[in-house]
Amino acid sequence: MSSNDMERRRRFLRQALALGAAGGLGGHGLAALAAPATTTLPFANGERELVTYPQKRPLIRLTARPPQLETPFAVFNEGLLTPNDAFFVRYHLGGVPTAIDPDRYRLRVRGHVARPLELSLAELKQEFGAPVELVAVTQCSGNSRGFFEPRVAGGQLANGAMGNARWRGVPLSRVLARAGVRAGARQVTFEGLDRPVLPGTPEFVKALDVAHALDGEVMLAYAMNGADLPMLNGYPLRLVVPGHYGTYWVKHLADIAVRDTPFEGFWMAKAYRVPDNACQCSLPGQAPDSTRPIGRYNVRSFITSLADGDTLAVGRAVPVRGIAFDGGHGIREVRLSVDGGKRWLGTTLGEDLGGYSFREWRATFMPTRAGIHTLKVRAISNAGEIQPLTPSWNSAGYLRNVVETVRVIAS
Amino acid sequence: MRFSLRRAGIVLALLLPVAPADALEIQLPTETAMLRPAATGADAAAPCMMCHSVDYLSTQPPMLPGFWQAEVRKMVDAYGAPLSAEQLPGIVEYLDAAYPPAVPEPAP
Repeated sequence: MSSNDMERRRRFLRQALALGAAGGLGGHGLAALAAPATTTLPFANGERELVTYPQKRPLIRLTARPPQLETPFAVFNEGLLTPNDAFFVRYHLGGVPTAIDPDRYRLRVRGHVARPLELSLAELKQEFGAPVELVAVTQCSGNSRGFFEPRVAGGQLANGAMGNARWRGVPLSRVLARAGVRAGARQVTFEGLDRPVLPGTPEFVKALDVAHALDGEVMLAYAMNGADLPMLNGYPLRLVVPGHYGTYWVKHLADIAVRDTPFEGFWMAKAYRVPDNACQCSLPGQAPDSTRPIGRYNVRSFITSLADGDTLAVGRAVPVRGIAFDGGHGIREVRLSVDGGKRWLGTTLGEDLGGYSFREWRATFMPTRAGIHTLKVRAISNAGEIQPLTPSWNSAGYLRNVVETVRVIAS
Repeated sequence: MRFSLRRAGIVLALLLPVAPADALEIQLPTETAMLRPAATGADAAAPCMMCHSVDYLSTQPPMLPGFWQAEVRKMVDAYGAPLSAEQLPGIVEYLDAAYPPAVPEPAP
């Protein structure tokens, strides 16, 4: 066992002890109320409060202003769709909207178009044909950043900055068709109602190439999982960019501008960039030769029914399940190892909700000896992309997709 | 009497910042994280809180020496923090003391 493994093992035992202690608090209501509930993510400086935000259940608070909330990982074992009240929250700018009147809300479409538009929410819902639905994962570029070694600066997230929802809305292509994209258009920019605190802070504007914006899949979503978007997930309208990192999924969408020149704003030209090479990776201390805007998700999978430190009975078979996803090709296969990666077993895939969705996988595990068992899970996409066994690195802490490991104890 | 009371009520209603019945309005929970005490005093870092809560810096991992210098520089250059050149060393000194960099591991 490497020193790294030893440290991880110590941490999960600490966690297991802490969970045991918390479980015994039931009879001490006042003491429990006095201090905020906390959780410790399994990396250095990982102590977090669990805080209840409007329209949300208690979530792991990374930051208060602007709010960044992580989904407790156990939620991903509740079902393939992430409940709205458990869905993660990520803002960039301090000026977060807290009151929006849907009757006064307007979406502007302007720029290199024949007919600039200003649409109410009602017009958007009624005048652009039957609404479309799509199940799709949104995931922070920096999901799992806290696990990077060497550590990198930025939001120190475990694996809970992702979620899978059934989005309902209008294809962006229909709205752009009404506006009439003019010849020579290059990119389309998107901005929401969130605002910087200081005049010198770049507004949060993201861009897609015109062909991407017109692909019919990019959506203006006004509902998720059958309900209005929660405020903190972008009420009343957000951009859905299937298969692409959450940075593009602009919340409280208010302004769409078609451009005949490439957009060079801060959040495209300076932030959310990855090394421009095949592995999208670099070496610590060495800046990559060039970078490009982050794009599609790589393939990932997780065990959701077991967590580090769980105890199992020797000789008793337990169902093991989890989720897998990629940037839109869908999942071909998920393999499970129960011996630390020496042998890999097949698993059964669950219902197919589409290539952009979480895909469930299921298997059975029976520990045959007492002690620690190291479970690993590895997904392969329909495009043949397979999760790496060792993590790659980049200075921004994006794109983590190494094979995940869960250690359980049999007795 | 009744008429003027009603009028007063209407005037009051117009003055109160009440959202329309079907508007969605939320109130964000209070911030709890506080700047860590340090010998130099935490006042130097107070301007950081113009734009973000304390947890933006307190949740950062132990980083290499020079990390806070670079972060503060980034806040000025990339995010337009209105900090004077004279203010910067005090902020960096406080952050280095209160949220110290990682101790380099001895060579194996």
